[in-house]
Amino acid sequence: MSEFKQTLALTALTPLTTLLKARLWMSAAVVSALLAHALQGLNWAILAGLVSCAVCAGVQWMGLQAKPAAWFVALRLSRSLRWLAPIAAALAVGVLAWQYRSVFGREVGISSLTVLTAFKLWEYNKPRDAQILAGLLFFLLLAVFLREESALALGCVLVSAVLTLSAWVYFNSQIGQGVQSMGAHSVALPWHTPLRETLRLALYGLPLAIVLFFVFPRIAGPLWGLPQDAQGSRLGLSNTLEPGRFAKLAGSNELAFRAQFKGAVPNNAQLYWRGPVLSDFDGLLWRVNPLLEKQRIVASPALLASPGALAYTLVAQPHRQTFRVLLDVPLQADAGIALSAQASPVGELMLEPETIQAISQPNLRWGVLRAENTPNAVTLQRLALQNELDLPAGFNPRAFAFAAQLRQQIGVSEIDPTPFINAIFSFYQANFKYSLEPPTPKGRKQDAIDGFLFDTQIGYCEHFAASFVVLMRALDFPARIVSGYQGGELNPQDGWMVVSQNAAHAWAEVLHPTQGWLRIDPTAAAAPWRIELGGSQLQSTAGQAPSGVQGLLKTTREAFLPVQQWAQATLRVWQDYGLNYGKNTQKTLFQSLGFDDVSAKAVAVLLGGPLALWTLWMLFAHRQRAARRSAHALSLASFDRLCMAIKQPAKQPRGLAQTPAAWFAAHRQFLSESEQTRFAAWIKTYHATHYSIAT
Amino acid sequence: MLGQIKHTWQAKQNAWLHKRIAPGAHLLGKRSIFILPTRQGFYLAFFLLAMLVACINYTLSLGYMLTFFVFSVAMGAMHRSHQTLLGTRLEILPCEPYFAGDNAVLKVVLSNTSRLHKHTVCLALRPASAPAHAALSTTASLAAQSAHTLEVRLPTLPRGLHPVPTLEISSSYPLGLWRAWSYGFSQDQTPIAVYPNPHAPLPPMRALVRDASATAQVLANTRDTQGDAVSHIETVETATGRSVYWPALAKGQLAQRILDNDAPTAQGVVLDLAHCTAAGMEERLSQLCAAVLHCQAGNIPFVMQLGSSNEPAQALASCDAAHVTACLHALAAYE
Repeated sequence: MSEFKQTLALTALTPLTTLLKARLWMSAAVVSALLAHALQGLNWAILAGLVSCAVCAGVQWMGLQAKPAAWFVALRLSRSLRWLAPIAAALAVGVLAWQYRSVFGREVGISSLTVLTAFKLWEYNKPRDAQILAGLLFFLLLAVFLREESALALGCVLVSAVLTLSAWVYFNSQIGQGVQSMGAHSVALPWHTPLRETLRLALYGLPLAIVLFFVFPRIAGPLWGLPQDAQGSRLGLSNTLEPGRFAKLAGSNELAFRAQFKGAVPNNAQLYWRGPVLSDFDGLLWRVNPLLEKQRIVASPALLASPGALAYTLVAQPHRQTFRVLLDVPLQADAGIALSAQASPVGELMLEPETIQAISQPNLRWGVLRAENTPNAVTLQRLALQNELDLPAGFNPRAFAFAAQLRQQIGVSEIDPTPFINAIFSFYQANFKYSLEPPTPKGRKQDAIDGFLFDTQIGYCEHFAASFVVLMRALDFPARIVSGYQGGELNPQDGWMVVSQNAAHAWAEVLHPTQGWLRIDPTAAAAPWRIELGGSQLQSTAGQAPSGVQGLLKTTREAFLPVQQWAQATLRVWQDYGLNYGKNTQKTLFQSLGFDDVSAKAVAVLLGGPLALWTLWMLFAHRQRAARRSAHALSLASFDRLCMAIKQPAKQPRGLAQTPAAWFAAHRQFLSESEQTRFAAWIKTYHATHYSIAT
Repeated sequence: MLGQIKHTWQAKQNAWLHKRIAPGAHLLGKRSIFILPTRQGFYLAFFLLAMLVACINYTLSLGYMLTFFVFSVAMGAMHRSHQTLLGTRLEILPCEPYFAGDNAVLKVVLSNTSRLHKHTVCLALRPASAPAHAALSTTASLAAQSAHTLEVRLPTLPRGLHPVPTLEISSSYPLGLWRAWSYGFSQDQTPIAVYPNPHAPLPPMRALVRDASATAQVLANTRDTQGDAVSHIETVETATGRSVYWPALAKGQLAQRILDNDAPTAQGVVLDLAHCTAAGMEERLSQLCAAVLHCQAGNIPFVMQLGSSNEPAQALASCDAAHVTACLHALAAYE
């Protein structure tokens, strides 16, 4: 039968209400998928999709009403909107392509998929439509994880997947292939049956899903080139300092990394975790200098063995960037991590969690070291110094004037930056306030540093660090911004220090002619408690006076410490074995199970083992059931099986109304001795259990 | 050559099936249910593969979770499709003969012996046993521990004796990704008789007059209950194919008129294939069939003669049900 004819037959035989209900089911599934996307941020494609779903669901619902007028309007709307839908979808994709200036890329791809899925709902008539829509929906759900990978996202996606499958069950059992509502026995499904059915299937399949998730060999890294924006706007540090990034990070509890020290744990004020060094300034943005990032420096063995060097293990969460974060000042690390010319740790694109063994020296001055160990030290130093002094001309005139004034006050030929640093610190201490929600300064964008220094005087680490570096450069001292994390929370239960995204911090480094690079944290001048506490307590105290609040915080913290620690441990398991389960974790898991590596043999054993166990269990359960049946002889089905087992040409199957006893009486002559005994015994038990006849 | 191979293959397949599935009432068990993925199943497999590749490329750990979740649900659906047929008792009731061109049904008793509600169980004729008519199917929903009598439409077959078709019971519930199926064979393998199409003009009829003196040279071995021989007397043909006026022919009026007007002493009428006026053999048989029904309706005793007419059972003029059935069966079986 051709598809056209099949469709005709289906439309003729399918009651309209069934189709309407199927569309309602699918609308619910699409809406849930769109909401999962909306949690990661609304855009107009999602809104358009939601509106389309709402209109579609509304029309279907109207069609289900008993009133003929509503039904008629719904039918007309359904028909005319069905023609409109592809046009609207094409139009929306066109606008998206224009908006993103491309048809390739992550965001434009996801948005197009959103729009197409939502409009496909209008063409939901045939089994093939159901197929396509379900496929689109699964891809849309997968795309949620491109935007954000979190437990909440997973929950939303699974709920949506269950709804999609329920809609599919409904469609298949009411309209699907080969289903024609001819027989009087084809009953409409109650609304909850598809849902219950899907949950039942999920329950059946759950063990398989779990085993596959852990055992299916993970392949690292992209199979082909990722689009430019594939990394997405993941929360965390980056190689550029966009305004507001650190305020966003301060609101996030997401784990950045964990560290375990081999020996004494340094105090909070010493815990500066060094990330990308931002020294390129174009007047608006701070960037990592790509040239300096490519240069490598190596610490001497003498430094590594010097007292004060700390060895530790660090487990970093993947951020899909090339930089790494290590304790300041890093000397050495394994896992292919090297140090850039600005002492910033760099590696390959990090796509999976990494365990890094590293050594750092918290009290080291870097400048000396660089001169000693780099082969082309002079060139490199000149290049770096040039970069670290560079300020775009014509921007921030008041800062330049302020610097000139300081020069006049302290000494025109002074080459020690210390008095200048002190002067700027006292300027900060006297006038500035710490807040994560600073007012936006008026005036030109290029003069934002001026606005912060002389107008608003309210800000957080990125403002303090950037303004400080600009002032130092205006004073002709090489300076740079270092981004990273500050502080960390030690979990005494397992000895791991947890550093979350809210500990993200930016500070400054100034080159001292004799001592090398000095770490200067201008934020400490305005808000010293920020450094003492570390970042994680910031959220509630931001912008407030630290006294009083601090005490209250301490008591609250102590009360909830066990809960918090337990939650952290749980979070760690989720991070390692759920969110970031990858090649490395899988290898660890396989090794802990006694295999050398993720080999084909190991996978076969781990997949086949449960399968064999399951088969054995099924066989066992089957035998158990069979034994129970023969012992109690409860069901007529078992009698029929008994009848079938005998090989007598003259035997007739038991008729519907024929009792087993009657059948036995009619067939006694055909049965052998042993068969007669078996049947008689069966009937006796049957009567005993069913009619309670004393025998 | 190809046909031969196909035939042999089907015979082998049937033998294999018959070994697993007993004819008559049959409880579907693990050994008699087959299952394969459908086209939709392959589509989903393709989608899942694409999703897996996307997960690998973008290192989406949670994406793996979603992919494996959907995959395992699909696997669960395989179990469920199989479960839908398991424990269903299938019994095909003997098929009633029917007239060519009529809608006929095969009655099937389906009982659900399990504790599960079975949604969308589909009954159809096995394509191999009824080619080009597999689309005629019936869908049922069976409550737990219940029995239903269902009807499967039989194809409109030409006149003749046809083998009893094999019934195919299938289910693609819940997701349509898998199709589980099994077969049902009728206990009663006597062929289904398809009578000629009765919608035809009546043939010329003759009155049947008992003649005691004439001993049977023609039908020597045919005797009625008194042991008297019967013979035939020619009468005038009263109706031709074209001049029949149907409303007037209701309830055997034509045959009655023959008896009333032309041969008042006759015991009945004779229906003879040789006297049928239509051109083709099938049309002539249709005419006879119409006449048989005509006589039955009017309670006119009749005898029927086919070809050389050595059918003893039809030599006795009668109009009871057994006689009618026998005549119709002879018409169906006529070669």
